[in-house]
Amino acid sequence: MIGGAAFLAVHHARANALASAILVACFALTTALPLSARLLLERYAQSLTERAAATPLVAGARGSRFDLVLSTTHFRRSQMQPATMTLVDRIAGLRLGVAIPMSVEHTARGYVVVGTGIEYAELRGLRFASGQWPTELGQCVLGSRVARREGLGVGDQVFSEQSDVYDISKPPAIRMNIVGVLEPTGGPDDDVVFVDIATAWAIAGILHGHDAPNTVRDANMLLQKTKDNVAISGALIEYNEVTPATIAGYHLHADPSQLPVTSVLVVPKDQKSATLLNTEVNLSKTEQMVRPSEVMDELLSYVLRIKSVIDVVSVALVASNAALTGLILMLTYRARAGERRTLLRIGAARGLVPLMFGLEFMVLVGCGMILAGVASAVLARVAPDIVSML
Amino acid sequence: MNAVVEVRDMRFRYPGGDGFELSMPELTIRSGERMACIGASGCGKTTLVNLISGVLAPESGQVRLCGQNLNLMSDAARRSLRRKSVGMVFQEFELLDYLSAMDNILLPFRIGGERAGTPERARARELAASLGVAGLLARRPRRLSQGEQQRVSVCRALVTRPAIVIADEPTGSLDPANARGVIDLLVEATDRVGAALFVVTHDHSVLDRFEQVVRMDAGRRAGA
Repeated sequence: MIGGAAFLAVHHARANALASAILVACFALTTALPLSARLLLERYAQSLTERAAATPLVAGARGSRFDLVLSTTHFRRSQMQPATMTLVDRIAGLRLGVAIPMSVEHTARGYVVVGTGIEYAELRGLRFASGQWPTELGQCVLGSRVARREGLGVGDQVFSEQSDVYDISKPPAIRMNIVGVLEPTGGPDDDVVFVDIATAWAIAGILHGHDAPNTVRDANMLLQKTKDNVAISGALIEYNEVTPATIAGYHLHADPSQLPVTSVLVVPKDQKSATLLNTEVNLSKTEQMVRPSEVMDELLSYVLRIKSVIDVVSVALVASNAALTGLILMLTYRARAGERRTLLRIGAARGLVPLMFGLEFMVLVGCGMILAGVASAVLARVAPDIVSML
Repeated sequence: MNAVVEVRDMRFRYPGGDGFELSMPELTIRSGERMACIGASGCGKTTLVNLISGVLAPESGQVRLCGQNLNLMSDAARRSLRRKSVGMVFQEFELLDYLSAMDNILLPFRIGGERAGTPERARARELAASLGVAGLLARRPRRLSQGEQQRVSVCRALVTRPAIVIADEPTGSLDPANARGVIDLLVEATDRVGAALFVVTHDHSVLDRFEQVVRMDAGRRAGA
């Protein structure tokens, strides 16, 4: 009997391909959507917690803890007040751990430019697919995904993005030489351009190079010239590339201790050092130090609230779909009354008709589940890419 | 000739029905015999068809199909006997629109859990050829004309080599010329395989094709 019922079920489903496809799509969507949302949410939460757990301490200017941590762990640019190198020097001076300055202010081809030091690469265990960490001003290293998407490699060049293209007094875009490409990490390091912290200041225009004032020929650029001082116009064209010929011309106009950093990533020697550092920095009214794992747990408690909302929505979605499916089945059962009567009159077993309906339903649900499974598997594969975009 | 259907003192009432009662003291259809059943609408013709084919069980009396007493058989056994021994033809042909003509013909095997293998397919092709629809076996019913659908439904009725073909108003929606054609088709097809034929009809113009005619009136046999 099962063979006959299965034969009829499959043939009916095939003959009504459009209706079957719509039902399969409904079952697949009902399953795949909540599943995918959960998967992405879990991957996102996992990505946040793993990264935070691998980041011992973060210091920066007082303000949003979330912004401070996310800018350091996931390179999220924010409007938070920058700290200065004073904080870096102060933490380093305590000799309780390594202080790694981080600048997450600029972009190149839409990718965040992260200014930091080689200590960062060591902390994260970054490995090079080719090349090496920048050793000179104006050099950069590409995250694996940046290199792949942009088709760039060692020996190529990439421009930073100018903060204001219509204001010639603003620092120009800097042409950076690519000296390394990282191996994939599956994390935020894949989607950024790493430079030395000094190069980040050069992109900001704080560290810049231009012709020597005493060699400026355009009189309009010379605002004032006395025996002790030369004032030149901000419109004087700055160098936009660090080359052996221009590198000597790069200089600072600011107190080095006041150079901006987005945050300071701190690797304490031990637990005691971490506690001491935390206490020391948090005594300041303008600076703060946080444990990323704690901040992320707090952030995730909000994410989990969203998860519970998704769960409720999923249950509602499944329930409404089940009700609709029930209605469709009931209407189908009625619409096929003639067929049922015929089958019974020509001698079909009593159980054949319910079995046929049940099998067709199971075939459609099965196809829906397979489709949902395939969609979820594909999503699981591309989840890191999606999570990196979130 | 052996009796294919034997009815004795049969009475039937629909449970919770409106008082309609079918009473049939005696009815015998012999092997290869052609019998028509006529009567006004609602007189119990279709009920009689359902009783002699074992779809319904009588309240009292005896119905024997191919020598087996249907009253003493389980529902499953009655269905099995019906599938193997009775070929059904309906007014609207009742072909399944999602199956090809071939699969419709083989339906009695499929629903019985039997394999529609090479011999069964050969039998279906042979019947289709004899009824002039051999070239249409891959088509779905909606791509067949009414006459072609009727022929396919007759093939389905005959494919299991039944002892009797029961046709429930096969000419109900046809004009006299076409009605005659359908009756001729059924008569020829059953004659060819030696099956008995029991046809319920309103059409008195085709009664000359039958050896026996049963007249029904308000649930009772009014005469022959």
